[in-house]
Amino acid sequence: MKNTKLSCIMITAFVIMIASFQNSRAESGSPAAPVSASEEALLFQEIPSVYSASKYEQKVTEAPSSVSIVTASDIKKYGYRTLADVLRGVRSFFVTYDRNYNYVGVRGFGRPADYNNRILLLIDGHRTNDNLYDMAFIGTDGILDVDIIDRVEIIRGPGSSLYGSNALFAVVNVITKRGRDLKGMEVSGEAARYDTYKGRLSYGDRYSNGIEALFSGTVYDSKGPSLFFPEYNSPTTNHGLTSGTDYDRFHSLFVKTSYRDFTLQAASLSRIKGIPTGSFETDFNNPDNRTRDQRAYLDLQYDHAITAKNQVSARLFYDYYKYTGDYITSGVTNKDRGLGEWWGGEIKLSSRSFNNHRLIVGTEYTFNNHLDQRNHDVYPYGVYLDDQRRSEFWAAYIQDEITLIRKKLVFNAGLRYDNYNTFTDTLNPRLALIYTPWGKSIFKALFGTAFRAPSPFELYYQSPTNSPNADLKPERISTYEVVYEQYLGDHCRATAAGFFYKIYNLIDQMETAPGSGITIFRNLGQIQSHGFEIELENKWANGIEGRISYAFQKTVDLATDGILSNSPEHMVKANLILPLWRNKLFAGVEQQYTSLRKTIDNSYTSEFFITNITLFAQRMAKGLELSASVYNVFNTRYSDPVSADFMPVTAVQQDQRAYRVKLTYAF
Amino acid sequence: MIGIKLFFHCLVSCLCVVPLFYAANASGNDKIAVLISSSESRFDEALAGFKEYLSNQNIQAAYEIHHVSGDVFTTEQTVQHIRKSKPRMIFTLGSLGTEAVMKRITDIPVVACLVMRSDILKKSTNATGVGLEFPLETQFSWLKTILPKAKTIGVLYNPAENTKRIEDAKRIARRLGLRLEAVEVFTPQDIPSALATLARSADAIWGLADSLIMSPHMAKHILLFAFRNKIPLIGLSETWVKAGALYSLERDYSDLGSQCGSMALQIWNNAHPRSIAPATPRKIFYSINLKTAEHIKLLLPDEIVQKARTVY
Repeated sequence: MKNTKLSCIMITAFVIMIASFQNSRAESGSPAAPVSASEEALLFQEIPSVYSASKYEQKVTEAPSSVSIVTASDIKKYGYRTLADVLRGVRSFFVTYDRNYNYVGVRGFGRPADYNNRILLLIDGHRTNDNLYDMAFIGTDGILDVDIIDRVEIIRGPGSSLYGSNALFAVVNVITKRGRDLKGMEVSGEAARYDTYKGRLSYGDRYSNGIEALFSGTVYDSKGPSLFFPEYNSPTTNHGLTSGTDYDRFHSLFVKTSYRDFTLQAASLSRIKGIPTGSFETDFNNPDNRTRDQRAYLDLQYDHAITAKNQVSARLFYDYYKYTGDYITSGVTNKDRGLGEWWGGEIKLSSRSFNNHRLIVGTEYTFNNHLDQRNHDVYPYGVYLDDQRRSEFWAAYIQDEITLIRKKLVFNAGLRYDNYNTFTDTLNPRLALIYTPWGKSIFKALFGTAFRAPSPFELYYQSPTNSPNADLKPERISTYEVVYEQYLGDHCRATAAGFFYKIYNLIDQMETAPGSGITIFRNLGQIQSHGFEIELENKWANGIEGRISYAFQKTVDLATDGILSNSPEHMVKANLILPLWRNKLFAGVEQQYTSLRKTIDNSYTSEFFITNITLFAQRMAKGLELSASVYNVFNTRYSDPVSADFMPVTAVQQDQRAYRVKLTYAF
Repeated sequence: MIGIKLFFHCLVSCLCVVPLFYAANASGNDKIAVLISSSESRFDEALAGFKEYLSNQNIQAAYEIHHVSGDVFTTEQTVQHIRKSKPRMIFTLGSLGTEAVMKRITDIPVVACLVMRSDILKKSTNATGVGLEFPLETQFSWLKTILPKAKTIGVLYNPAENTKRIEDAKRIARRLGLRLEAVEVFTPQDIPSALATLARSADAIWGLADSLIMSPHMAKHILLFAFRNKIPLIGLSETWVKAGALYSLERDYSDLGSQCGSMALQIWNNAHPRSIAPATPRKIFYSINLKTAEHIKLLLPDEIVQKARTVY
């Protein structure tokens, strides 16, 4: 029945496409004739200024999804420290932190410890989710310093029709700065609470020979706060107090060079993080419990306009990820290792050769050279897992954007076929109707499916606390969404969106038997969610800008008919940038409300309201920028739900009031 | 002595006035029909400059002024009326009126002003005038002055409108040590990808007068693209600079009228329009946008800033 419905939709889409191609043949003719009669009007016409419009005129109206954009200016003015901070401020997104990794939740769905494998994180189009855990790194483990982000494009909804696996809830594309954005050297230093220090040195320029380059290196060191876990409040575990275990250190490097049609990008990061939570039944308050993540990639991209209407893009990439975990249990050190190495390529052709059509066809191939996992005790020596694998997949996709009815209606249809050698193939469509009856009103009706291939970690990982499950099937999602965007005046946008999605074969972690302490990944039943979001954003002529949003979502586990854990029903976000003095001093105020969330033991974390304030100064002296931020101004105490790996802890305490001062000097 | 001087002055004056009198009588009237295509204030400035110049030259013409405000139908009707009224000369302001007159009237001299390009006047047997566009050499020389590090200049153009212009521009740019990267655009939908191509290589984007590309509809898109990609855009006029282009070369519209007035004087004195070559503006100013310069981290020399007519 499901397949019949899908077939009907696809056949209808196919008929519309064929009809419009025939129509386009009739319409295609000679190039536009000159309109010389009014040529001089080109000189005298009034043109709206670009300064105030730069944020809102991103062609988001034509996107077959609900899109949010966060710019470099937002990052500075709101004092965002990581990509997690960026996503936390975006409508319908929430982020939980288990004091090691940050996990993104979208539209009421956020599984603790899912390693963000249901969103796809791209950096300049390069897929960054690793091949072992499918993890998108968004915290201090993120490979990119937020200071070298030009903008972040957050595209909600299923994106597998173009991007394949992981794009279940959103595609987050981070666009990095270029040499021209720096035009010289930039040095930045910051100090924050909990003995946290960060330094960055960047250089970029565009030279007269056409070469453009950007180099950036960052070092970070944080001792972290002392924490109290009531679950460990006993004399044997230091009365639940832990100090010196929440440390966080990383160094990263980013290089981007381009010449004409070629862009070469390389990035690397090495991060060590202490584990203060006693997770995986490790010894509480032992600073030797830690993880180390090493991530690197190399990406060569080629973009070329074959003709005015036809472009080709190609990409070759090499990626590397190494994870090392030291877990001490009753004095025994367990070493957990993961090594992922993969390479591949992609080629994409886009064409506007047919009138009213924008056609994209592409194919990609990835070879996973290393999918290695190892787990052993150091002394007494015992190996639990020594698994080495290789795999590959290829995919092909097509998308057509058809403009109909005097450009008022856009029909967008995409389809992607993915073939994995580890499980059966999969086909994912996305259909969108975008109707603009009047210039400033946009209606979108969207449907799409997406999938996530089970990760090698979910399939094969074995340790004293986890059993493998090689029979896992891919999980799938079907999403229906309607979006209404209304522009009010030049720089005010109101958005309302309603959605419904259903997840099949959800892969989730559970105990093999109640109280066993051993977890396993299984295809659980179905998850269903519906909700709506409203957002109003504006930018006034005097420089004040802001947005406010409310999101409601009800996400139900159909097997139990209960609300899904870590799923807030209500979220309110308000962001405001106030220019305090000329174009030199700004205040960025951010407020976030999250309603209560269920934990794995069916209790609830409390609702919370967080306020962050940043003062940002620029142009006080040539090349100098200064910012001072206070996070969690009202010192709200709140916790985030965590996975079964953390038992007996079910929710982990988050940072209290914190501050940061930052100085950046460009020369 | 005073008597000899007075006699000499009278003689010279008579020698000047007699041909004018003769010429006026020869054409049967001293009427100049003026066809104004737009209600834009610069058109009035140019007309004032034209009239002032002729007045200073003691030409006492009767002006029959027609405003068509960009309406094609009114323009056609007005041209028919002008043809019947047989003025001694027609002064057109703007392409709409100029092209309509050139199409319908071939036996009355025409002086055209505020047309984008003076090239179109070369096709006519009875018209001359002053175009709005500066010579390519002038445009590229100014580009080298304001953006000395720019080597590759990107430009979008519609081949149906500007192929010849681009060929000439490539040649002149090469001579001046610049490389012109011209990307063809056939429809407005081609513009985003064409701009993306330029973003990879262009040091500056030259705003070429092209009705398909530099249209009011596409202006914001092009300006935003230049702004986001930190590529200086050379605007078509001050309004473009105000909106975010880095700089533009400017005309003195009153002087354009005077320049046309000097052509009209020659025709009044019986010169044939074909003997007067169409010209380009003789006075050049420029406007710059310092906010844009700061955004793209371009440090402009003080001298350039101080000499600008308008600084945003």
